[in-house]
Amino acid sequence: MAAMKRDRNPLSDDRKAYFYLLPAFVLLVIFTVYPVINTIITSVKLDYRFLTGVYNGFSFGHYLDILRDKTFQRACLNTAFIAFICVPASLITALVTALLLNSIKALRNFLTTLYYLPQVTNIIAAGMVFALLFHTNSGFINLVLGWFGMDPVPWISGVGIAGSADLYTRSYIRCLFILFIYSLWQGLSLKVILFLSGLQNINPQYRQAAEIDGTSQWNIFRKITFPLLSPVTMYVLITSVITALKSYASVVALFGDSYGPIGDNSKMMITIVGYIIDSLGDYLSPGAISKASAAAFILLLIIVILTALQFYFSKKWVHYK
Amino acid sequence: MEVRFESVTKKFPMKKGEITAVNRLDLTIDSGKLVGLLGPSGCGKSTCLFMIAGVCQPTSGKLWFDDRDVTTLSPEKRGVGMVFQNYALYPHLTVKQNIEFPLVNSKEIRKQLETKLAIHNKTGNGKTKLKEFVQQEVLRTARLVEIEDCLDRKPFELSGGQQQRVAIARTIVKQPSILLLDEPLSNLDARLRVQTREEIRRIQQMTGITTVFVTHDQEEALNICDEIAIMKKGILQQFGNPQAVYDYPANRFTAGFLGGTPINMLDGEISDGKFIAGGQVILPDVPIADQPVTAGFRPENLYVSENGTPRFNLEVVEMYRHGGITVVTTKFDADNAIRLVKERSDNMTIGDRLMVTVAPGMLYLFDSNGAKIWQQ
Ligand SMILES: Nc1ncnc2c1ncn2[C@@H]1O[C@H](COP(=O)(O)OP(=O)(O)OP(=O)(O)O)[C@@H](O)[C@H]1O
Ligand SMILES: [Mg+2]
Repeated sequence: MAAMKRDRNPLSDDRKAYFYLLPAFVLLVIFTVYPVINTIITSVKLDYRFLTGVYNGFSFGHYLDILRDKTFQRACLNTAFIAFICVPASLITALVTALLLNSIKALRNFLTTLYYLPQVTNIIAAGMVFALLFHTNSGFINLVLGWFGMDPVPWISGVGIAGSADLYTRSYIRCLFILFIYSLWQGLSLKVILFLSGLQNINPQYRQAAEIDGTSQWNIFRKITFPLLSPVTMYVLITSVITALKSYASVVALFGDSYGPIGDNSKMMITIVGYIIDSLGDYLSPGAISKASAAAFILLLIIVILTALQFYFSKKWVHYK
Repeated sequence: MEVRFESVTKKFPMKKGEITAVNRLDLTIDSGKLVGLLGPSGCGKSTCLFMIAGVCQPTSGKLWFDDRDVTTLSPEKRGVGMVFQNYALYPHLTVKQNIEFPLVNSKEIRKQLETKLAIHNKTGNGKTKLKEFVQQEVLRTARLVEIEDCLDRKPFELSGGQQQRVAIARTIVKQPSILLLDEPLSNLDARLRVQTREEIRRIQQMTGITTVFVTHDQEEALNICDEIAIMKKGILQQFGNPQAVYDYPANRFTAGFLGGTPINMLDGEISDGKFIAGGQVILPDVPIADQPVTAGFRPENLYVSENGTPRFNLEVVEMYRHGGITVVTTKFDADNAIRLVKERSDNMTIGDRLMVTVAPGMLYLFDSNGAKIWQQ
């Protein structure tokens, strides 16, 4: 019956659907499609003055400048560190935490709330607390290290790094470490909640059936729990990678708005979004907004390509019902 | 393998207090028997199976497989197969992967398979690899339950009956020594249900696996089980041969629970050794003390007779053809109706008065607590 109706009047059905989609579509055009197109156009205008609208023709110069810029390469490296090292680490930690939380009954709600706290904490405030924890002279971490007889570590310190590649590398690694710990902690909360609700959505009978069939706990996880959880994992992965590619506030909170320890003038910990914002600089000067637009468009491309890749590979490991 | 519950109690903690799902259960299921576990919803049937399977452990009491105390043994070491109430087929795996799951994942079963394969290769001079052997076993089992055409499909692409049979295949492929079936037929249509239950009976007899079959459909239980256990609120009410339980109920609950057309219950009292109901003497000579009692007698055990004892004087008020039988509803007095089941309605009409008696030995008297105190 339904099929016959459709055949008779296919267009009116479709039209209705389009009609209902219209409001969302209009919003999408105004706030997403138009800005993106505008960004692309702006990015290729030469010496563009944004108040008067004057420019000197078109060029891809900004893109070339950006790609050759050492600071941009540094930004890409740092962003990649967050997206491909910190995110997987926090994903795995969150999954393990959720599995543990799911297997206990007592205290589960209390602990879940505890794990959720970072989510309701302001990123900047939390980052500053982290920075304090890692402070060389009065930080808690060094205090604890002191109890074990260790010398204070100059966690966020740029002393002498401008002149020594070796000192620079060491300082950089320490900063990456702090960023890693911070990202892990900050990203954990939402992921744990998502994984936990995903786990609780899995009918316990699958696990019971597998147990009766003599399956080891590891195989139950590998062959039953993980595949059944994979849509959630996929969602968490994609959203976390996108969020990571857009990180900015965390590095500013940890390392200040010069993106590095005092004494560093290379913007050691800058991210791509940080680079975009810095490019804007004095946005009234000619070309600044175009360079920022070009950088923003590069970031958009990276996000789109990575997300598409993830979707493509997800077919191999995500089991949708 | 024999399964024995020894005073087993299972309690579940609740938000407030706890709930006793199974209460001091003593039950011995003989090796090779097909035993039906019956009772209303929530009476603890599934909990009993879960304890046999090992996915939940008794709060107190002991569970024995033959002479082995398995009370706290982990599920994978029990060699039990279970078909869940809603199948629990792994949704992301194909039918084939579902069926081979126990074969490729259990170390114990792998070992057994390897031994079997060695014998097979020795006697047959063959050189079958373990992988092929597993596939052969899967195919053999799939044929047994007639789902060999669906092997590459996912569970959601199957009908309820097919899923059912996949679940059974997954369970019997590993040749468990105990088979647990939790309402395995509840999702099937009437015809498939009868067919599948005969199938289960056939497979059970062929393999001789000790089988516990949970159902709340009594007809199912009466038809295929060697023995039935009836539970109510976690307490075992009666255990025995289905026909014996049917004819000799231990109490009012089991009497009322069994029977396609509900048993007739007539409240009355014993006075001076007579059973009196509705102001009439129904039984003249009952050797029990004066007390309020309820008489129970099954509709199919009633027949028309002018001078039997007990004797009921009834008026036909309704007749209802029901498949191959006719259910005749009659009025005993203002408050009590009595039903008869007859092969055919003969020449009764509404308004007729009948004299009716109960087949010998088929009238039960229950005291006010529901215990049976007399049967004649
Ligand atoms: N995991 C559990 N936690 C708490 N209570 C439970 C749990 N499992 C069962 N119960 C309770 O124990 C009692 C018996 O449950 P069980 O599942 O054994 O009933 P059942 O006889 O199988 O019923 P049905 O015919 O509806 O399947 C019920 O009151 C149920 O609410
Ligand atoms: Mg049940």
